[in-house]
Amino acid sequence: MAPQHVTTILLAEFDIDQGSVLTHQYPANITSDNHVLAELMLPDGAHLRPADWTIFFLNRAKPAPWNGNTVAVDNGDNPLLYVLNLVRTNHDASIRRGAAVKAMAICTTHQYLHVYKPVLLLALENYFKNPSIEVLKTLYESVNSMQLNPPELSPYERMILRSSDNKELFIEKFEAAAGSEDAPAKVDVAHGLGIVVGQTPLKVKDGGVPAAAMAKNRDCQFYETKVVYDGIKIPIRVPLSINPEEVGEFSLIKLITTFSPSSPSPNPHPFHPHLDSNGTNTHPIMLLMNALLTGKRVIFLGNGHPAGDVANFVLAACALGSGSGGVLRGFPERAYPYTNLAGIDHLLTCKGFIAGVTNQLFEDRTAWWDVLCNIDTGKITVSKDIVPVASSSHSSGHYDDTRAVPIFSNGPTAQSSGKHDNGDNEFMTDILSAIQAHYGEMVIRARFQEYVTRFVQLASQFEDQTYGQTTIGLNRINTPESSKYMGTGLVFSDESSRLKEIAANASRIEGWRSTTSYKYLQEDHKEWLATRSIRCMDVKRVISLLRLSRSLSSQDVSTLYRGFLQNIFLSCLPLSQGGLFCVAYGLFHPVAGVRQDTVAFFNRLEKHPTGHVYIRSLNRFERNTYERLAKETATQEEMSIRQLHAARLSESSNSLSSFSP
Amino acid sequence: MGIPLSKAIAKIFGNKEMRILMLGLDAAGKTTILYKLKLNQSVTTIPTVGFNVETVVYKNVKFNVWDVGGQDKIRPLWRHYYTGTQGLIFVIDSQDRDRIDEARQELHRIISDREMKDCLLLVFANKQDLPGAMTPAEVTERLQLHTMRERPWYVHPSCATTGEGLFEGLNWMSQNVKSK
Repeated sequence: MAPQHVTTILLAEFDIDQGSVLTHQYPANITSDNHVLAELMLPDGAHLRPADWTIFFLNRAKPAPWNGNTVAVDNGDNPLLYVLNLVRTNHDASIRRGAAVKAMAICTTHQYLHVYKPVLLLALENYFKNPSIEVLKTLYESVNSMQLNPPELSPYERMILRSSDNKELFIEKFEAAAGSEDAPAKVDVAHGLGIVVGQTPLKVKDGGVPAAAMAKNRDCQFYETKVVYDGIKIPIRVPLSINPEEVGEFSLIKLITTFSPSSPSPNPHPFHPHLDSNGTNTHPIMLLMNALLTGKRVIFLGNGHPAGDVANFVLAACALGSGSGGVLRGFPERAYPYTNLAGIDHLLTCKGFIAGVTNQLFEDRTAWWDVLCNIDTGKITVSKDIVPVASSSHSSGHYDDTRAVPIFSNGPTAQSSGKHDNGDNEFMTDILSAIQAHYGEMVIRARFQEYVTRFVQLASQFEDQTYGQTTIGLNRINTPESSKYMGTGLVFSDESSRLKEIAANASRIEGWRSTTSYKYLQEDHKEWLATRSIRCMDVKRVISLLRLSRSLSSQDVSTLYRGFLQNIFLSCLPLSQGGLFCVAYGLFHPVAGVRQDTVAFFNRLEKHPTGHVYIRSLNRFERNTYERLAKETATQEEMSIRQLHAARLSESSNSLSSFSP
Repeated sequence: MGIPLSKAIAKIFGNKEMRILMLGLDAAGKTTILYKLKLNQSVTTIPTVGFNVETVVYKNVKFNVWDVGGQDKIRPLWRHYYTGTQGLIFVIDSQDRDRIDEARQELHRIISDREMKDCLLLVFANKQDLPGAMTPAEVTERLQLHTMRERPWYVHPSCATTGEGLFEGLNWMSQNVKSK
């Protein structure tokens, strides 16, 4: 069976006598209680504007009343269905009450649901002309006949691709993907990439598209294909390097700039240990980050805005909390990009939601939320009804695996407000000046991915120190060999700054430890420990040691480079951050052994297609040095082989001669 | 806790703020009333999906008027708007004799809610310009308002398109609202 891109097409309309009704579900009903679904498809104020795009999710594992029990979760691991919805209001004086409001939605398993916008626009237009379930059927068939054979990339490969605009990265995978179409299909050379057009099958040309032609036109971040709907070919660009929790098309930059005040003033609400990691001077974006990490109920309110506006803020918030969708899980599953009063009863049963609304009524109902972000005023408000946290964070501390007693007795509790400084404000200043300097969305997302990665590392150190062990990071217990390679964990400039930073973060770490995203990370980390390819060292630590221009002893350096020889970790060295730059220092190391190991390491990399791209992106000086050293080493090796041969020869001749009388 | 400054000023100068909820069956004329009050213009309206909300200032009283769609299937959402409502405007299509009983049921359901026990009730007997429209007395009787003893209520004839009767209704509201 062909992979199903779209599971269901929905059609709702605002019946002038009855109100919101779900008219059609094709091919099968996904819900029996369809009223709330109809309400979500016809967002508040739909009568005020010609069109509105909304997004909502149906969680098949944890059904809400409106996505019902009729859908069994298939064995795929993502129970979320992403719903892209278009509502349109057509004014027409010839009909009773002067207008028709109809909405059509596509339910897909793909997180890049925005690619369906053009086709949905055409289909809804057709439905207005001919209101029949046939329109849904045609749409369903055409979106599901889309060919999708993107190159298969591992999570590490995705990370490498994400941080680079190099056109040659993973070209071998594109070629393989284009060449290995098992279904006979025509390869569209004109588009530069193996685009498969279904319907009239033709033989695949041997070997697919020539690599040179591919490299010229292709954007390595996308896989290009198309949907043919109603005789119109609609190009579809499938993003290849998105992280698991990045859904739809959103702007993290817009989220940050909307909620960053031009002149910061102290937060007026009473101190909350989970939220105010920097006391009253906590930057609003950091307050939001903390609310997301510690599983608070977060609402984005866009009073009178199209539903699509608030939805994009919610999607961006999911990315903010999850580290651009790449570090933590469990954000989209509690996200309600657009919801309204019809969904409130279900929403309030959800422990920590991230929801978008356009009804200002929510602002007054402070019992419904913990943190409210008003997209018009740019203000983030903490509810006066927020549940306070016990000031001693350790009394509530627990550890899943053991009943470990906190060994850090005069605990790192951070309750007095005002004197916190955990570096967040500095980080935000950096981010804002990067945005001002027009750095792109991907750069900003990468910074937040790093930020959350670091938060997790800190949390792991906090656990190690407070409870004597950790299940979310590397330590000497799960990575015993690391003692040879500079240990595990974050790198700090000294012990006191380590203690200070852990103490400043302790409260929000404790808050995070009781959330689902923490539990997911424990699961993920366990699996990663069992399957990781580099078992002997904490690569992140080693690289940050190399990056910090700290003097490492020659002894350490030579062990490290020895270690590199056996372990390759390009995903930790994004090309956007200089790639191999910090490792290439080894080429200039005074100890000859280190230089040789670096060369040997680079030689190994050179043989791998991705490694080759990395080597080629070294700067000229480094590359020349590498090539020179490589040549020298090669000559030396040749020399030594020759000498060896000569020695053997002379030996054999000696032995020969010994036979001679 | 002190009183916020704006409220204190309002007390001194007699500025009042009133939260009004406007309900009624679909096509009764709620949205037309709202925009006639707000803009003093007769606008062509289409069915309301969700709600409209506007602020109308009349005689030093700031009315926050919420106009919520009235179709059958969306009436269960009305209850979410009750909390904090000081005045209910219930709009009747005076020509629609077929549905006046339906309107009565809905009205009694709303005002029996605990959240609405202190709220004023203003009924607009709307569409008085149409032939055969029920008179305010008839509307009062059909809605069984005389059974309501604990609550101040007032029925006023109106024509939303011309604006007749609307400000008289608001006037009654502002004079009867309890100052907080």
